[in-house]
Amino acid sequence: MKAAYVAGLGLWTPGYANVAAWIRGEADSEQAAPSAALLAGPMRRRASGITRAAIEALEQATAQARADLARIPSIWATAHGEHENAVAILDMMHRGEGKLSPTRFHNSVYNTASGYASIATANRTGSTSLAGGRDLVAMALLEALCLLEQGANQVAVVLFDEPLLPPFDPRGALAPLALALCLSSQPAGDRARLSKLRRDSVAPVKRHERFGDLYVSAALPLLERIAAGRPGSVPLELAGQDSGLAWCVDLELADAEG
Amino acid sequence: MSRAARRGYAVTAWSAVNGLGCTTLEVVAGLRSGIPALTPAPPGTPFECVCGAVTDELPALPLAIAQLDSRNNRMAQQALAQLGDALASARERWGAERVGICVGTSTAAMDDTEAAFAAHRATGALPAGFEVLRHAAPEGLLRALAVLTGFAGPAVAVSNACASSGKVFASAKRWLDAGAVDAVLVGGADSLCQTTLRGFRALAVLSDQPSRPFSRERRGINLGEGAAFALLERSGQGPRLLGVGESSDAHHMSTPDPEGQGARLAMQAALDDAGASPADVGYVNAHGTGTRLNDAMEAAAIRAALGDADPIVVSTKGYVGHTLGAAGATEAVFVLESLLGGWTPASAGADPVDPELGIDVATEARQCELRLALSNSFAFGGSNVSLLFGAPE
Repeated sequence: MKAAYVAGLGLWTPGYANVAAWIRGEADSEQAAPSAALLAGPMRRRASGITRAAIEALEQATAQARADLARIPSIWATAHGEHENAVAILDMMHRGEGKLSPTRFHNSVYNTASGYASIATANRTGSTSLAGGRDLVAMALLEALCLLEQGANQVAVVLFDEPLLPPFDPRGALAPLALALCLSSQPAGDRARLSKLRRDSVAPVKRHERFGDLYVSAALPLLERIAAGRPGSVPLELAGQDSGLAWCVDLELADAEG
Repeated sequence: MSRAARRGYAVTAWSAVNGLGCTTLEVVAGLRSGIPALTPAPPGTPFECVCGAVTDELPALPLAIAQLDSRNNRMAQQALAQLGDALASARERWGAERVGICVGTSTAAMDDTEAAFAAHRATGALPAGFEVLRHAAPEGLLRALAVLTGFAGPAVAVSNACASSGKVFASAKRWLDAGAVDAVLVGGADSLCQTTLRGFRALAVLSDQPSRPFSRERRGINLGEGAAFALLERSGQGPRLLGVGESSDAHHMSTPDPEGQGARLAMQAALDDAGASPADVGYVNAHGTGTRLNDAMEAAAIRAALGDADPIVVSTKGYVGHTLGAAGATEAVFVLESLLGGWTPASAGADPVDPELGIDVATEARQCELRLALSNSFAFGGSNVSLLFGAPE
C-alpha cells in the first residue's frame, strides 16, 4: 500500500488545548472545554462534550493541512461512543414514565460526532465511524490508507473517547481524549511519512496515567513522535495482547527522502 | 482501475437470522411466503407496538468465551453456524491472517447494558463480571467473532447507526482493493432494546401497527433484531459485490434531506464504482423504513439516480422490522438470494402503494431474471450507503 503523509495534527484533552500544549506538558486549567468553533447555536448546545472534543481535534488537524472541510472524507473511531448520552438515556428510563428525549436518542449513536461535523461543514462525502477494541487506532489508519489508495487526496482521522461513567466506570481512566490526523497522498514541505502498517514484534504502548484503558490513547506516541521528529517503528496499541505482536507503523521524516 | 476491481468480489456464502427464522433456509422461506414475522413488543416496553424478534431459543456461547455471552453475540453465533464449512475453507485457502472481519452494530448488546443498569439501581451492584466493553460495546461482538471464526486479519466494527452493516461492504471492498486482505467476513448484528424502542417512539416515527413501507397509509417503523453475514473473497463462485457508494446528507441528525441528494449520490457512486449503467439495475432493495419522510425521499432519489430504468422496488423491512445495525447485511442477504434464484419478494405492507412515489413498488413476489440489484441503507447523522450486486457470472 502507498505511504501517507501527515499534513496536520490535532489534540484536545482537559488542560491541553492542542498538540503543542500537550508536548510542552504544561496543563492550563483554563482549558476546561474545547472551543470547537465549527459548531454553532443549537448544534453547539446539543453536542456532547466528547463530540465537541472530537470536532475540535478535527478543526486543528484540517486547519494545519489547509484541507477542504466541505470535501474531505473522514474516519472516526471510538470504543465507548456517546457514553454520556447513553447513560443519560438509561437514567431517563428510570424516571417517571421512562420516556426519552428524542435529541439525546439520535445523539447517542456512535456516528454522532461525524454527523455533526458533516452538517457543520456541509460535507456530503461519506464518512465512516469505527468502533472496536485494542486494534482501533490501527484499524482507523488502515481505513484511511485504503481511502488514499482509492484516490482520495486527503483523509481526516479522528480518534476520541471519554472515560466510563458510574455505574460502569472501571478503575483507571480519568480524562477524555480526542486526537486527529490529516493524511495526504502527497509529500510536501516537512510532512512526515507513514508506511508499512502491520503487526510486528514491537513493544506496545504503555498506559498513560491520565487515560488508562482508553484505546485511542495508543495513538499518543505517534502524534508525539511526529511532532517531535522522532522516526522509527511506532506502536499503535496498548499492552495486553498475548501474541507478542502489536500493530505498528513506520514513521519517517521529510529529511529522510531523497 | 484493474479489470478485477471492476468485476468486484465474489460473495461465496451468506446467512441470516431474524424474526423470520433461526436458519437462513427459514428466513428465505419466510420471505417467499410474503408473510411478515412480527410479534408484540418485548416485556418492559411501556407502550404497544410490534417488532421483528428472534423467537427461538439461542444457544449460549462456548464456555471458553462465556464472558462474552450476550443476546447479540448469540444471534451472531447462530448466523455464523449457518455458514457451515465456508469459514474453514476460507481460512485454509487464504490463511487466517489474510481474512478480515468487518461487521456493523448500532445497539450492540445495549439490552444487556440496560439490564445491568437496572440491576445496579435495584441492588447497588452490577451483575457479576459485567463490563461494558466486553459485554455490550461493539468490541464484544468483534471478540466473539474472532474466536468463533479463527480469522486473524484486520478486524473492526462499523457503527454508523442504520447504515452500519451496509458500510462494512464498502470498507471490506477497500481492504480487498488495497490488497490488505484476500477475504472478509462482513455482516452485522443488533438486538432489540428499550433504548431504541423508546427512542424512536420519542422521535414519533415508531408505528404501533405493522409498518407499511411505500404505502399510501404508512405511519412509521417497526424495530427488529437479527444477525447476517456474507463472505467476500478475492476469487470464487457466487453473486458479486460490484460497486459501493457512500455519502452524507449534511442536513440533520435524524431526518433525511427531503431532496434525497445524499441518497441519489450514494446510488450513483455505487454504479460508477462498478462501471455499470442504471439500465441494468432490475431490482432495488430500498432502505424503505415506512416513515413518511424516508419513503418519499427515497422514491425521488431512486428516480433521480436510475432515470428510465424503472427497476422493481421492494422494502423488506415489513417482514423483519428495521434491524438497525444488522439491516444493511440482512438486506444484502435478501438481495443475494434474489440474484441467485431469479425472484424478488413482495414489498410487505405496501398495498395500497402511495401513488405519489412514481416507482414500481412490487406488492407481489415476482420471478424474473436479474442482472444487477442495488441495496440501500440510510442512517442517523445522514450517513448513506448503496451496494450494487450482480448475479453469478
